[in-house]
Amino acid sequence: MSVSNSPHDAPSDRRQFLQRAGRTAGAAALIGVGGALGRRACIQDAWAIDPNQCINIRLGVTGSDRVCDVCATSCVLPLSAVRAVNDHGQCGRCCICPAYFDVRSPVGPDGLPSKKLCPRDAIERRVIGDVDPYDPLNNFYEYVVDDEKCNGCGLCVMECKDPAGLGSIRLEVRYDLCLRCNRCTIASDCPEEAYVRVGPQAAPAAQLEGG
Amino acid sequence: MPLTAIRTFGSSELGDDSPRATGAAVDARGRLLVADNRRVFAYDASGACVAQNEYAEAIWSVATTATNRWYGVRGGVLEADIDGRIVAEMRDRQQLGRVTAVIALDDVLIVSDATHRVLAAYSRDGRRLRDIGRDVNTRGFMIPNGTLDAAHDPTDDTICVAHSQKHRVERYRADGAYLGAWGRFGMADPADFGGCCNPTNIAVSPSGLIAVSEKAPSQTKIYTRDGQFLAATAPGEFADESKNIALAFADDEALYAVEPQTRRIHLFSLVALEVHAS
Repeated sequence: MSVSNSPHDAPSDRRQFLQRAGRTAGAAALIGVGGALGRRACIQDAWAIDPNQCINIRLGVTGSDRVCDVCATSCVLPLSAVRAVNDHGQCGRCCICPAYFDVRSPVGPDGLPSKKLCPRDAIERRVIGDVDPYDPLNNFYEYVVDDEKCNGCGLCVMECKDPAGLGSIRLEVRYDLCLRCNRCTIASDCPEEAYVRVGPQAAPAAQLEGG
Repeated sequence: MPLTAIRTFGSSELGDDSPRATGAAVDARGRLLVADNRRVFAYDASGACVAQNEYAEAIWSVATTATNRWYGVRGGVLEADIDGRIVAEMRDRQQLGRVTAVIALDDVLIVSDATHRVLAAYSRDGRRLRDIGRDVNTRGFMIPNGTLDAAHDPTDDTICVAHSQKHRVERYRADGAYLGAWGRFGMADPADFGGCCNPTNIAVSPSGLIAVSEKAPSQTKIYTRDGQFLAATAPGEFADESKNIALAFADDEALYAVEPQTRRIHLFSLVALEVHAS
């Protein structure tokens, strides 16, 4: 180990020390900021749909001709992380469900609409109990959404919306599918700001202070 | 020619703190009675509120006879005099839920129980005499809208029921005998009942004309006693969100329609349309 005793070497050492210290401090700051940002975009945060702000679920009037399909078309995933979900506790189990049938299609010989509403055939209609052989209308039906087919387009939700339906079908974010993008494209495109981030941390500020 | 209201009133007295207006009937003085949570308002033909009664429990339906009022409540029926003072009660808390229609015949009360989805006949002292419609509707009346409405046809003393999920009007005798039904699902023909569950409410005029109300789109329609379509309200008459529009006929065949959500009351004259029962 050599020790420099020359007064000409001291400024160089100091410079190196300061440079080294500066790099270390900068790295620590970057790691700290990254950690903070990473914590804010962690698994504790999630995107959710506010039903009272969503055009399809509760906001505004009913009618599939006014449906908003942003949840289906804006997600970065090939098949959106949003799905329609039917609350069976609220469902009326109607024989002619406007979320299942396209009620504006011609009526068939069985007295039911001839076409289904879902473009992806993602809703299954199952009779509950035994079928009444004497009265086809005297049956309750269970309507179940197929997760693998549904893309969250919102058509069924819009047709089930009050007052046309009972509002038992709504759109929800599937947390096992959602990538939790820091800048969610659905949220960016949602016309009513119904797509919100929820979690234990406050959402990061959209703009830096001072503009 | 569409059915057009000759007068629209209400809303100022009916309370903002109430869930919604429910139940309507016209009394022997020609006043429209409207139930709104625990209160019943009386309107004269000009639309002025002339009386108000407040009660201890929510009133879900209103009916009238020559001298009395009848209120459907949870678990029973209240009998009041023509001024609204309670004079008797019929209770069956074990078997009766929310009573959304009452028909007072000579010695029998016909009640619509929306909770248990059944029509039942009771004696005036509260004995359950029989269920009506069970053998036809083995799974009960299917009423996703939460209201089972029925009306008395004074021309033949029968009961007309709005069976919403089956898209039809059913007719029964007071002894429970099923007399038939008419109506079907459809979105194109104005005579048909559209959506998931219509008609929601029903009333029968003194001459036997049948008025029904629907939701999505909200409207009122008039039929003959056998189901021949006669007229309907024009689009925009009622608010888009209106459903379970309560109906009541006056003695002169005037029809009142009460929008529960907006609390507006519409008065229609069928005479002006030259509508006749066949």
